[in-house]
Amino acid sequence: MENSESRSDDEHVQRTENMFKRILSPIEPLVMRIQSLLVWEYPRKSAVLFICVHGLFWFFAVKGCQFYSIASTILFIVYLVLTWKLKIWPKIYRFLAAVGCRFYFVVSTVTYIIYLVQTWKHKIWPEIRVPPAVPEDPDSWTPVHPRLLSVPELCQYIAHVWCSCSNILHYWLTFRRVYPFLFCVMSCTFFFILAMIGHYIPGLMLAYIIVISTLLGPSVLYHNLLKRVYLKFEPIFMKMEYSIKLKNKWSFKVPRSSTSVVSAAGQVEISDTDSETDFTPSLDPVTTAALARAITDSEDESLDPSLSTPLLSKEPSIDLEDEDDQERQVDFDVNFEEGIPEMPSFEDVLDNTDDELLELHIPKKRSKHRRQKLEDMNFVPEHFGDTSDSEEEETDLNFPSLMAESLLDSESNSGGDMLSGATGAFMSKTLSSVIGSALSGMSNLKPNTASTSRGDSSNVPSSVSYKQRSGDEVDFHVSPNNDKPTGPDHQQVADDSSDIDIGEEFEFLDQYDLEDDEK
Amino acid sequence: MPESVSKTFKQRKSFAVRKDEVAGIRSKFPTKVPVIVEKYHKENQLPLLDKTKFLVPQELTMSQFATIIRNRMSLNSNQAFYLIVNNKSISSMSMTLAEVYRDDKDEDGFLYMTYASQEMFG
Amino acid sequence: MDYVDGTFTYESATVACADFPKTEEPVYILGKVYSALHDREELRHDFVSRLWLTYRRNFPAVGGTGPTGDTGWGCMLRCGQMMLAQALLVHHCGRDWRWAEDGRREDMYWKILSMFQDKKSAYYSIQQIASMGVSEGKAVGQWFGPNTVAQVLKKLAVYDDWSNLVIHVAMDNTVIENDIRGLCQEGRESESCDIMGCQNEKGAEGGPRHFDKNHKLKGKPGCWKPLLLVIPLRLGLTDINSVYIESLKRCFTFKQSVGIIGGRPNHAHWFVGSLGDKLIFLDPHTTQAATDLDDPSSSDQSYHCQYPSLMKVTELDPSIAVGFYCRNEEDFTDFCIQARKHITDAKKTPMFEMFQDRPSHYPPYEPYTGLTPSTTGFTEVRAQNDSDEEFELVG
Repeated sequence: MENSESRSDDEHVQRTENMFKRILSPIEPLVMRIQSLLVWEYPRKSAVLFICVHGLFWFFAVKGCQFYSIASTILFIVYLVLTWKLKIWPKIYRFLAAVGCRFYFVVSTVTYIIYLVQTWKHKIWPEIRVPPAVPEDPDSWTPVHPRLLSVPELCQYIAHVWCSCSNILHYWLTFRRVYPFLFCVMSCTFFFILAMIGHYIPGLMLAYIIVISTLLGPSVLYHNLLKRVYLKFEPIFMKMEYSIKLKNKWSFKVPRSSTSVVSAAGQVEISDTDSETDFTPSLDPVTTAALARAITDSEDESLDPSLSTPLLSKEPSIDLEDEDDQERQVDFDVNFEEGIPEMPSFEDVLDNTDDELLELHIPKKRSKHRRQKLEDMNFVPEHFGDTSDSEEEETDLNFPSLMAESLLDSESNSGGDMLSGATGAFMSKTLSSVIGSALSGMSNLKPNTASTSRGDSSNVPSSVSYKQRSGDEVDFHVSPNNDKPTGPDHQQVADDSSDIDIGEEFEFLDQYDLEDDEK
Repeated sequence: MPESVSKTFKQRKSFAVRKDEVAGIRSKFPTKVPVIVEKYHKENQLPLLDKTKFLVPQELTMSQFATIIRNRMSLNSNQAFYLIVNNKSISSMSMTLAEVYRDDKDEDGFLYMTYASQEMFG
Repeated sequence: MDYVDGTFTYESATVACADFPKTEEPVYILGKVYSALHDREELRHDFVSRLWLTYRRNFPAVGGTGPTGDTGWGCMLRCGQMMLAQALLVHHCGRDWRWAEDGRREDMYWKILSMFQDKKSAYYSIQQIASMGVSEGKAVGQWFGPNTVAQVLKKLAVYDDWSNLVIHVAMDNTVIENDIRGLCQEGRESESCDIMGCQNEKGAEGGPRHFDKNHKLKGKPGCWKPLLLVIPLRLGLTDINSVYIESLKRCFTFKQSVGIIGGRPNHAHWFVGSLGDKLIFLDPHTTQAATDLDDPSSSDQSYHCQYPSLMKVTELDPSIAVGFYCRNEEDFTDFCIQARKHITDAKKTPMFEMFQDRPSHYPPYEPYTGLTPSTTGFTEVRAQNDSDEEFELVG
């Protein structure tokens, strides 16, 4: 049964295809030329077409004496200048204007003229003329183009679309017959939606959108413009995302309260192995991925967030926490926002010299690592250094206090258990490299790095960064001053619960956006 | 079958007419190669092409041209299709049409190609 | 023996039943070289060890109601079977395996042979090939071309889990390496290449070579499906173009060679080697009675040809298909190097071409997986009840 149906469908498609071939084959060169114009193969010619179509469109769209008078004046000038052939055009123009430029009248007139021409060419003239001495060549030259559709291919696609439409129509008619009420409801809904669209978007706008899509759409596909634009802007996107990640990473380390920074600093002294164990258990794949993304310089954005990527970054942020992941996780889930108001308190702990060191070391290290990691990306690492420096400075200042807070407020969580088994191997390998480079360069920045690393391992920054990426990245590319206003909000959130609360994260993001909007 | 259909291009037109045609089209489109593509007379698996005379950009490779002809015939990718130039050689698929034209063009100026699939054996 | 009783030749010309001519020139048989003067016994033994599949009569009807004999239409199908059988023999037993002419039943060889017997249950039987040919647009009993039989065998090989062979048919005289690599390495991503994972669950049947592959780690060259590469060609319109003769003979020197299917006009042969300007082939145009190899008393004598056939290379029909078997990735890489050196880069007009990547104007490569997509578009909403009767309340 299905076979016979599919065979009849194929036959229907074949018949429709043959029908279109009969129409289009004689004018294949014209079809190819039209395609060439639509895909902007020769930009100048396509630009002329673009202008002409615009002229025609607005000519029919705008009724009014102003347009008419301007247009007729121009045409009158043209009439005066051009040859006797163009003398005919203003007469036609005046005639059309006299009948009000009505669209349907023009269409029907044009159709009638085409019909007359075709009948004369194919039926009348061959009968009445004297047959030529040399028979005309039935073959015409067929242009071949590697990328444009030839008439048989075009006919195939059109036939498929035509048959699909007729199948849909047939389906809907049968549906109407079988389920009339349901059909009534669905069609009313459909037309209601159309009416709403038509109400809010003027018809002229819709028509214009359709015309512009037709004129520009094929060229977008032909020249792969979307891909080119993406490739061109990819470095900027990467840069923005990286800066967002940095911001999140650093802002993570903002502690719940500004207490015992000393204890935080003391705990920061912990050995590398401890920091390794802190990082090895990943809460879940999302956490691990987010952690990797937050830390790593390899801006491999194609990575599935659920994949655990090794922490290959040499950023100092990766090192050094000896706290439990559980504690950290809990804290970060909740404390992400809370830490931010605490950031200024970090200044109490650190000297300003630390900032200088941060400025000097962190961005450069990051950019170096980035260079190593991203051969594909064309962006200039210095861009990162330029824009992210200010943020890093600010966030760096705040981190130790944040870290301290989160350390102190550690609560148990089952995350650590989950993490330990899965990611030990790769984490240790990558962390050793990361830690080594970070520690070697920044021995006096351990408190900062600790806080940053702590921020990295949490679930919240990763998910936040993930959301940020999907959201409006530009909004997050703000000066670190934004962190401070959001602090109190975050603190409140942190006080509520210790569970991972995605809603709070969204809240934070919304606030973040609001902050940006306010600015 | 009408006789005109079974006649090859060379049979339908005289040498002088063909030569003039090539001269005319080459002067109009110097960067395009005039190609005549016809079905092998013993071939009965492949469909008949709707057109015979093709104006092909000379930088196109044989491989690209074969793909274009395949698409015109809506051939399955598993179906064998070969373009034999001047009734003898397959010619390298990565050669451009300019090179093939230079090497294998006919004396009237056209480049003749025959398309066929494979013979069957029983 | 059936081989003696029921044999008659279909060949229209005189059958060359002579032995190998004694000549100084080397004889190439599927990658091996012999001297026609000094290695005659090895040469004879090698030749006789090849599986010879001919026309058969009185086998179970194709599709239940079709023909019971393939005389007159099945020669290209038989040649395809012979080339595939050679690939399987090399895969499971090695190129150096020789037929024990005393009727001993070697398990591996017998299992391969059974896959080609004329029964519907055999993977590569004439019944299966003829039935699968319908999906290629060939009715049962229609003549096949080299490409058609290669496409059919490609589809049938998907169901052979024991061999796990993958067949790639290179179209348009073009071999695209990355397509083949992707095809052969398919097992790497989807399955873990553990000790049994690479081949199949029945790895024990594979023999030592399978275990070698299975022991290798994931991502290493071990996870490579054995490949039969078939390249259908048309080397001319009516006659073979003489520029290709050298390359054609060169194909038999590759150690990966499993022969060439082609023939004289309308008569398919399986070419296994070359000697001077002649090609050595096995001819399926001999009708024998079908044998049931599952019967313990059956003999396999009818599946080996004692006498080579030779023909001049200039008499070859231009429609051919060249076959190569690559056991693993190193083998394939070696084949690519050899092919580039001797065929594609050696001549201005090579017999076929090799590319690393798929050219951009080609449609995307879709390997055959044996799953047929649904072709139904809309499910027809049929009016169950066209009547407009409504229930009327009675009462």
